[in-house]
Amino acid sequence: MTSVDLEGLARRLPAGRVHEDPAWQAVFESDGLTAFRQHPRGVVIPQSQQEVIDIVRWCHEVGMPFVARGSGTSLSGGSLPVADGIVISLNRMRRILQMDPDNRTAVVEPGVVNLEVSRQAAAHGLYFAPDPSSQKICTIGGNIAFNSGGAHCLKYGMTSNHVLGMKVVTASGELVTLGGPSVESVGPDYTGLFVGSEGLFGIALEITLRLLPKPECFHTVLVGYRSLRAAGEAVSAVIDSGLLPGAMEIMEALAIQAAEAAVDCGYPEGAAAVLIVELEGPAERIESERRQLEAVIEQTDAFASVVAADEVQRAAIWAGRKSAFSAVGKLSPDFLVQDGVVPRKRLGEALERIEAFGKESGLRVANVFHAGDGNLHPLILFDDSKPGELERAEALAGRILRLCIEMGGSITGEHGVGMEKRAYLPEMYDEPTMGLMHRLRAAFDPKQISNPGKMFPGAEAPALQSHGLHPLEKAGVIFRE
Amino acid sequence: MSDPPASAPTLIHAASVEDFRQALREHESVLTIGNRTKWPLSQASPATCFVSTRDLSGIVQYEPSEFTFTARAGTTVAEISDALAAKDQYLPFDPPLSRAGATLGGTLAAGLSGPGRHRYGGVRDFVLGVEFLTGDGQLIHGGGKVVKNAAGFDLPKFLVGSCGRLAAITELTFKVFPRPVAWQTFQIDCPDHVAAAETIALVARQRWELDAIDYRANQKSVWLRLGGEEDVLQRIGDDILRSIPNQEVQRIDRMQAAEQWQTLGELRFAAAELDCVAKIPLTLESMKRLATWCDERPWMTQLHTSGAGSVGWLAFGSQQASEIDDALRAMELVGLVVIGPEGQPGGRTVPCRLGQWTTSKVEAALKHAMDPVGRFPGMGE
Ligand SMILES: Cc1cc2nc3c(=O)[nH]c(=O)nc-3n(C[C@H](O)[C@H](O)[C@H](O)COP(=O)(O)OP(=O)(O)OC[C@H]3O[C@@H](n4cnc5c(N)ncnc54)[C@H](O)[C@@H]3O)c2cc1C
Ligand SMILES: Cc1cc2nc3c(=O)[nH]c(=O)nc-3n(C[C@H](O)[C@H](O)[C@H](O)COP(=O)(O)OP(=O)(O)OC[C@H]3O[C@@H](n4cnc5c(N)ncnc54)[C@H](O)[C@@H]3O)c2cc1C
Repeated sequence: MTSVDLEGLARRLPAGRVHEDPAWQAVFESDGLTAFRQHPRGVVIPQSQQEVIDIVRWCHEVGMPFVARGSGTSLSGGSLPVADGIVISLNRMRRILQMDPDNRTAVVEPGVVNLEVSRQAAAHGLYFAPDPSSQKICTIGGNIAFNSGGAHCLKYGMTSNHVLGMKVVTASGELVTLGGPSVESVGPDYTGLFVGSEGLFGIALEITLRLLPKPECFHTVLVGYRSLRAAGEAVSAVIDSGLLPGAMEIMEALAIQAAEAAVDCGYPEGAAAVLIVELEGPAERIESERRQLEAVIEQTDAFASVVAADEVQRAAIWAGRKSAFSAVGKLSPDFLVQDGVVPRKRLGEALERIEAFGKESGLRVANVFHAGDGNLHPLILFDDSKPGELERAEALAGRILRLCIEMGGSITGEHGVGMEKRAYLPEMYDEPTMGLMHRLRAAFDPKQISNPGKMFPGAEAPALQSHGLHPLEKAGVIFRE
Repeated sequence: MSDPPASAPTLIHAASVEDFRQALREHESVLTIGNRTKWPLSQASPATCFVSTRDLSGIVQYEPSEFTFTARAGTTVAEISDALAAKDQYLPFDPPLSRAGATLGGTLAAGLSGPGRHRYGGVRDFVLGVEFLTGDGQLIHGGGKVVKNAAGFDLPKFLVGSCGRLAAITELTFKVFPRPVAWQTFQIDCPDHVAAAETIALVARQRWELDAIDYRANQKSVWLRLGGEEDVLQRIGDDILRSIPNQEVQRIDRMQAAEQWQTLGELRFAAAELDCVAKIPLTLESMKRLATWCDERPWMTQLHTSGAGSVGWLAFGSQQASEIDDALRAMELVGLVVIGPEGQPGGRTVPCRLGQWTTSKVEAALKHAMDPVGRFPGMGE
């Protein structure tokens, strides 16, 4: 137990910023990975950059652990509070400070919601490319910490590829500017290092984002296959043909059934797998590429194919895909989701192995994934009320992560390591590399007070409880891919 | 390995990670070099041991259907481009100085991207994985070999622009993309820099998905490059010709355009007496200011910008380095001198950093984390 009193902090801030009562503690006890719960010592809600700086400096002085928090939608336990530490909730810092259509950039505070950037940019024909399915609610600060992705990563990259610079208060209280207003910089790419640091380096106070012109046209195709392997081969065929689709997604039978039940999406009946391919760009280019795509699909083992004729049909195709996770969640009281990555050409093999793992552990696994970049999203269904099922599900998840490492991939494509996968990071990176990561962390945070216990194995974890939908998913506010 | 003559600096051609390690063990100060294409960046004191990656070369793995390749740091960009082209793929950011022999490691360490960075991003956006040695000789494997990976800190990006001062890079993994079958270049001649900046802002927001938007400031001409199938180039091209108000747009002959981009890619766009080229991050506002400043000094400067006005390539004479330095400071800009006159080994011909560079405590702490024994010299040393 830290003996430090939050009074000292409260005195440095305007009234009403620091909350210590149990009701506040309960609100922040968990994030999108509801398996873990931990009451924080207190919750602080700053309203300005200076207040954040004051809070972090105070934490550094007294050695108080802190966890920055955006909307708390992390799926890996990244924004889970730490025992005896405070949560710094950044939701009040949600101003878009500058929208610069000429240079196609936006300067935002960390609490700005992802989709809000694209909404504001739309007036200029621009948008913010990273589109996690939680984009209606997750914040730019959270996106930065996790280098979040979405369905369009193959072509446009992840959050990191769209962040030009930021103002940061490091965990040791230093105020620094990384990068700048231009897409190019000189000197080491500190911005690139900070993005994806999972809250372990400090707090981003102000972020310069790169905006892209909105694509003029979309061409969305839904293709049904009798086997998952055939769908996987189609993905390779599209890539080999020289096309660069904006998105390529696969859903397999269990996920399709669930989606049909939930949103009646009208996918081809009897499909073992469906593939969604979306081309985007200027009309002239799409006209040429769609012919190319048709020819490629024709050569594959497809039994049904639907082309979205308009925006309504496009939305219908995506509705099935976007609802898949919450729909599968309804098939089972509890579920676990992983987001490991394998080389694209080994997708089929990976899925067969996952299926076999599932059979061995007696649990159902539904697969939905970003096929274009080999990013799996296996959903492990279980019932926590049945003794031993949670442990079996955890063990199965672990086998899948190890499979991804063995195949030369990654344990996480977009959800981050957080609390959940920290035991596996040392299996992906050798000892010297882990050692260097600790050294880099110490450069920003010598006292290890910024989001301690995450990403690196070691510290005590709160006990696992159940795994279910995020409360906001249950309420139908957000969906995941 | 051989002892150097008393005064000349040591040069080692590392053929393996172990050779690099040995250099780091045996020398107080070590700087990795590639093929001498960016001379000013590897200026260091005569006490420095230069480790060349010339013999640490070759493509380790190339998987066209994965959109990835892995190559040793000393592999030339030209070799890689040829291998990719054979499979109709490319590095879309146009790595500069390819003809001159730029290496993959040097391109990443110098943090240089060419005009093509406009559409899909620069070298930072295509690097996926990196193998390198820290100053204390530890072999590190950062990032991954797949196109998507969010595990651990992003070490590959951190080394972009590190100029050999944070690590000795031995191997790199990159993402690649399918290559357009053809390109068409357009030129828009503008009356002044203000009109040019407006034109750039306008075209950058259009639906065309341009590969490159460049500006030759002394000629006040904006260059657009579009890639794709022939009929697409024709049809989008027609729309471009129609859509730019008050300015004359012309299609540039393909051969001529290829040569223009080539010359620019080698950073040889200015008169020979302007023997230095600095990279300067810009916005459209600072581009206008810098271009105007250059207008008043045509005998000593020439400016070309890429990435819709976001990066300037400023050519100048080495004699004028301090004047440029003052000007950049006044404009609150920074410059990295990547081309300069080659001097004697151990000598110094031109400062590599111009303008308003700032440092912070955390930068020093990061350098210490990468190089606890202080093997890699600083940029000014
Ligand atoms: C239904 C659902 C769907 C999802 N879909 C996707 C998806 O498609 N793709 C994807 O990549 N992710 C997805 N996610 C995961 C999650 O939404 C993202 O990781 C998101 O970026 C988290 O944002 P947040 O604001 O909720 O951050 P939080 O969960 O509050 O925080 C996440 C991490 O960021 C740190 N942090 C927050 N703000 C700052 C700051 N200013 N400076 C430094 N660190 C900070 C926190 O300490 C924490 O470690 C989904 C989650 C849910 C619940
Ligand atoms: C015998 C000899 C002695 C020399 N002595 C001197 C001297 O005394 N003073 C002096 O100023 N210059 C000296 N040089 C430097 C030399 O002339 C060039 O400046 C140098 O080779 C530039 O390399 P490059 O243009 O290929 O740059 P690139 O290879 O393109 O490198 C550009 C930048 O990247 C870094 N870099 C390149 N490859 C890697 C890698 N694998 N890992 C990490 N960083 C990397 C470099 O350090 C440099 O900062 C010497 C070179 C030789 C061959």
